Amino acid sequence: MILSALSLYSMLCLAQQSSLTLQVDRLHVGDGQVLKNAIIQLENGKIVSVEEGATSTGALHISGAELTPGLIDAFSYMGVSGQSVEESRESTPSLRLAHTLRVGDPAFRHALSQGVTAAFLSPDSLNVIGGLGAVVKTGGGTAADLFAEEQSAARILNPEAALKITLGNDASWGNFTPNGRFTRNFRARRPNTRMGTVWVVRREFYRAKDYLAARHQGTVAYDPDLEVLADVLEGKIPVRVQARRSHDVQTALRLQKEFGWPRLTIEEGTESQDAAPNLAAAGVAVITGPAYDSSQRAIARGPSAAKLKQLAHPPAVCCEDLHDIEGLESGMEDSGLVPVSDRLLDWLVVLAPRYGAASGLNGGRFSEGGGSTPALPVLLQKAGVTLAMGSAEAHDQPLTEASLIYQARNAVRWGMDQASALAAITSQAAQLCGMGQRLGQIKSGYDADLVLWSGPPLDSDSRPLLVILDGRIVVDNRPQE
Amino acid sequence: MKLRSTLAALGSLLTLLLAPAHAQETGYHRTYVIQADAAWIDAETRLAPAFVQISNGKIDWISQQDQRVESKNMFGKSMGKAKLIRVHGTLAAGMVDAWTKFSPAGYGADRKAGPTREVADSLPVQAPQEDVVLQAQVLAAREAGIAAVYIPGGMRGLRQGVGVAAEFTALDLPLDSGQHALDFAVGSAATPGIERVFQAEELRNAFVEAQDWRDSWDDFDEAMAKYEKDLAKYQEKLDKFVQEQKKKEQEGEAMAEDKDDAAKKPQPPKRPRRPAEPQSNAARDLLLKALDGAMPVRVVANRLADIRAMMALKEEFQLDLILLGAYEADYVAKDLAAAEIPVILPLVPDHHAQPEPKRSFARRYLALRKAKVEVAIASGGVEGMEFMLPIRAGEILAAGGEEGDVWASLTSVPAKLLGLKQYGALTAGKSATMILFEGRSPFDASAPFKAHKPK
Amino acid sequence: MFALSTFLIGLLATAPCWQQNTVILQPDAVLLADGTLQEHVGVAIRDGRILEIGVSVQVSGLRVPLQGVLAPGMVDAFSGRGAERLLTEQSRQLTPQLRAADGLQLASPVWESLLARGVTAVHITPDPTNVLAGRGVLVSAAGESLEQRILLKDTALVGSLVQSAIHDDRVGPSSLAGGLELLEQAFATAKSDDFGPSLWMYLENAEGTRGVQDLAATKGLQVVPILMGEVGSYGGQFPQQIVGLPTMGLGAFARRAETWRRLAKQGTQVAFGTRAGNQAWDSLRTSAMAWSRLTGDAAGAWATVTFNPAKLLGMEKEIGSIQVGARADLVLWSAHPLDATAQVVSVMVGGQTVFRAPLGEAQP
Repeated sequence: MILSALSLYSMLCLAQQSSLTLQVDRLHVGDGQVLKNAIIQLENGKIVSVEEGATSTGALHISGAELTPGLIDAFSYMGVSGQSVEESRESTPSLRLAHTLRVGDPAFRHALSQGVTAAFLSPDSLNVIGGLGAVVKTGGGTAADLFAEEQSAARILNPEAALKITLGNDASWGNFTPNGRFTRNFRARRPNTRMGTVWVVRREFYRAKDYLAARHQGTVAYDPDLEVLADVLEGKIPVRVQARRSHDVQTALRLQKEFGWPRLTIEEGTESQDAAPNLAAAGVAVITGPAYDSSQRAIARGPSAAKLKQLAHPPAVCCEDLHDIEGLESGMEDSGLVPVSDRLLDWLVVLAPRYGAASGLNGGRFSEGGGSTPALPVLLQKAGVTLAMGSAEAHDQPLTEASLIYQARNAVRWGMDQASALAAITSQAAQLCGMGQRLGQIKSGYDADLVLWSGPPLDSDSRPLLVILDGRIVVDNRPQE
Repeated sequence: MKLRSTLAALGSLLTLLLAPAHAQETGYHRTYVIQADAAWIDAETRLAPAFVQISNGKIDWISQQDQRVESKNMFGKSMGKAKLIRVHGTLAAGMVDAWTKFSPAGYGADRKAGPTREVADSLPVQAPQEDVVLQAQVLAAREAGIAAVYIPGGMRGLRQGVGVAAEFTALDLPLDSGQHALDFAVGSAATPGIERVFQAEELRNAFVEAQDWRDSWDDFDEAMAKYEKDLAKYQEKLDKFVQEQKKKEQEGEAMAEDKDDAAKKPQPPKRPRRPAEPQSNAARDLLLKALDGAMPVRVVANRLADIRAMMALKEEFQLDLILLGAYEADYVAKDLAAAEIPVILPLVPDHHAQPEPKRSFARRYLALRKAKVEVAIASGGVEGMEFMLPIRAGEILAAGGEEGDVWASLTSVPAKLLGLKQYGALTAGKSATMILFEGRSPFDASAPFKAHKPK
Repeated sequence: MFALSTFLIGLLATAPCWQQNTVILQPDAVLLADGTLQEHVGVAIRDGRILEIGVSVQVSGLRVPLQGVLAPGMVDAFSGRGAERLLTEQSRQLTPQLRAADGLQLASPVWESLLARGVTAVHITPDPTNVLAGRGVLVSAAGESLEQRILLKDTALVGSLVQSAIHDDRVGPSSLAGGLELLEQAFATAKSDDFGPSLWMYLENAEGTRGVQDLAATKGLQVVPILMGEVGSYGGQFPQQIVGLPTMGLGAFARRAETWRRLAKQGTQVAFGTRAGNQAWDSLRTSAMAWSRLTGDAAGAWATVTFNPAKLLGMEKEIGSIQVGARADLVLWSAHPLDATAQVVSVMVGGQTVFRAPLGEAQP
């Protein structure tokens, strides 16, 4: 299916569509609103008008199909190789991921075929201060690859979308204490520990404070790294902190207080449910990544009935409860959409963290986030934390299982309402990527990035029929007539 | 009238269907004539101008005159003359690459090989998209002007498997020509970077063992004859024994008390043991085929010691030996010529890091040819190097080689070594996979050079 | 052969006063600047330069009939030949002050071997092991004095983003991003006249290329890319442009052949260099022949080793083609130089005959 979509894409690329009119039965604006029988006019890559309850004769119409904005992956490693951070130093704020981005990476074509039209690409987590992430569209650019089947590639919208800071194990990984033998290796340095990581962040920002003061006085000796940090302090560049364990999340909040980062977002936040009230109070948003399975790194599918039974010894819930859950489990697999009872939600809040710890869900490459739970999005939402979703490394998985839409579906499965789940991968994701005025909603003046689904977008049996990027059909999976 | 034309059409269809078996295999089925400025018939003969009639991928005739005649289909309806295509340049036979790195899907030629595996078993069936990687390799070879190749049994280890000489079909897939050969590599060629001096000995031992096994059939026959005699004796004794027993039973009652005394009981005669047949073994069977001369033995050997060992091997077992690589073969060129061992020289030397090798490819070739060793030039198992064949060969001319000689090393000699009778020259009955060059020779890269794929 | 010996004797006899006098070479054919082979053309030479080219040369002078094809001498676009083996400073990653000219070995026998293969000029660059490695030098393969040999003292700043080459466990960088960061620092802190008009970069991927181009644009520098690694994965970035390409090696050529075809198809022109390429003496011409076979464009193929390297160096009016006013760096071949059977008959550098093939003896 993907292959045929790609070949169609290449053909359609040639036929430039400057204007297109769509008629859809249901339209999800992206901010929670749903319009019925809407007509959308696209011109020159922008949405020109959206009318509810209208009909048009020449419009493209597929009955039963539903329209959403193009999905926005708020945190992804697509097209980012290990080269995206420079490991010879721990703090490299001026490194731009956009410079080392593989625009022709097949992951972009994958993403596009699954309805993702834009993404925030995060620098890898191996440095304390990794560099500047970029917001890209997953298509519309040109690939330099002479062997590329078609000339589709990612296009950079903002090369300085946010500064990435990593707390926790990832950043100190690989470093060691100088011991005489290997001191000539650049890895003989701090940080070797979680504390060291925070020390590096604070040191750099104290330097940046001095630099900022000097910059105001006009007595500054140019330093590209400190320029970026000073911009962060001034609120010109947002900060993204990768924090998985709950105390890392708390650390991020403390650092924000200390340096007054005006725009902070937590990335991954695997255990952030524990810090949810603090996050809500500070107005800090979280971009959740998929819960990882230790071996496959695939999205957590929730506990199986057998595992739940296993967890029930010693009994945390009584036998009837288990029976109910079992029934729900099978029902969920059938429809993908199941109203979740409050009782189940309670169960999740009590048991899910333990479940994660017991089953070895480890949330990341260095065994962080033992307390991960597939219910994280709904827990954050209940606590009043703004959130968006990202696929992180899940795009490695060739199956649609790992794609962004599945994370929204998963969130719904664990108790989130449909509108919020959709917003977390469209309008809210756009907002948190600094693109809220342009992407993530179906309104006139916004970019004409749309996905037409074969049914309700969060139904597990819906799939993208059309993906429209900048007003052009780039993926066409309509059934052959 | 309508019926007649329908019949005629049916006739041509039937003619197509009843095309020779070869046409059905290779998929070429058209008949046409190419007129070129000139043609190189073989290494020595030139023709100008040249008319070639091609049908079913084979040359019907080649001549200085247009010899087309009107053809008729099986209902007697005239089909007109074959279509004439005029081209500029000189036609020559497609080259034969006697040593490639082609590998059918799933064959894994670069892994350690089993001695009995055969490439021919892994060749794809003739269907579109059957093995796209192999198809790409064939296309690259076609574009380079190559008409047939040898696909080796493997790339690593002493015993590499059974390779196959293959021609190309209309679908650009290789087709088993029926000519197979056993592939070996000794010394540095078997394990790059490691000199394994015992490998030549190991190869010899394998042949010795195969021969011993064959000899052991004689011993078996002797033992069998003895066994049959013994068996006859045994039968006699047994009969006698049985009769005696019966006698005793009749007299029996009186002997009842001695029943427990087993030692005193007369024993039956012992049956002789049938001698064991020598055990069969697939790997050895292949070596026996080579010993019988039914399959050539191709050995990659670069160092002098290895080459000498291989020469001894050929003499000892009267093998149909072809030497590959043969980097130091020019030191024993005369001996090789005397032993009638042909050499396949790869155009990639194993010393490419040196700026000016004293023993360049051209020099080594010329030394071998001077001693009258049969030499074929091949791409030598470097993927995508085929198009360099005529360029490297041209360097031999610049170094003093003879044109016909070098061209033969790219066409007729490898065709002969591979047993591909329908390749290597432009004469009636040969393959119509040809090249067309506009320069002075195929070695001239300053002028267009095209490959002709039959239709 | 008679005409050839006449030419040689003539040259020997007139050598002393030759610089003052005009000599008109009349070979069987001349390979002109546009890549066409023209017969019955005379090339007049005076003071080491080409004075006139034409069917009927106007100036008077000694007419020397020659058997063979007269072609411009080849130019190696980037090379390490004829220089110190290590042309780099490994203690740091930014060494823009390093000059390849300081590591020249002009007395090396290398130069004679190059002349014997028809190479008359070599652009020597520092090793591509530093992010900014230093400046290159353009050297003539023959000449009497040092001043005559060096055609361009500081050609361009040469750098590299080839990971395997620049990676260093002691000083970094460990990544492409780090390499780019070092470049950025160098650009940010340097005075604008520290850099020449162009920056020759050894590259290996699309990301690095884009990064360098972005950074160079801030300084108004033109980037001359030298394409290493898997060129097919990023060669599409250089349509209608001249790029450096290492001479054909041996490994994994299957994809490279197709890459070359596609480069040619999209209008990319190539200048072959031997640094990080095949070290065999004749690899320049072999690569040009291969390019010709793969692309079917003989004129373009010959330019890969003559005009294109000269153009990249900004020396297209001096070397790399037979045109009026250019240096008389000429090679007489027995046939078209892209014909694999052709041999070098004699070589002239700056109007002086500097190499003659031994008569009656084939070259190996």
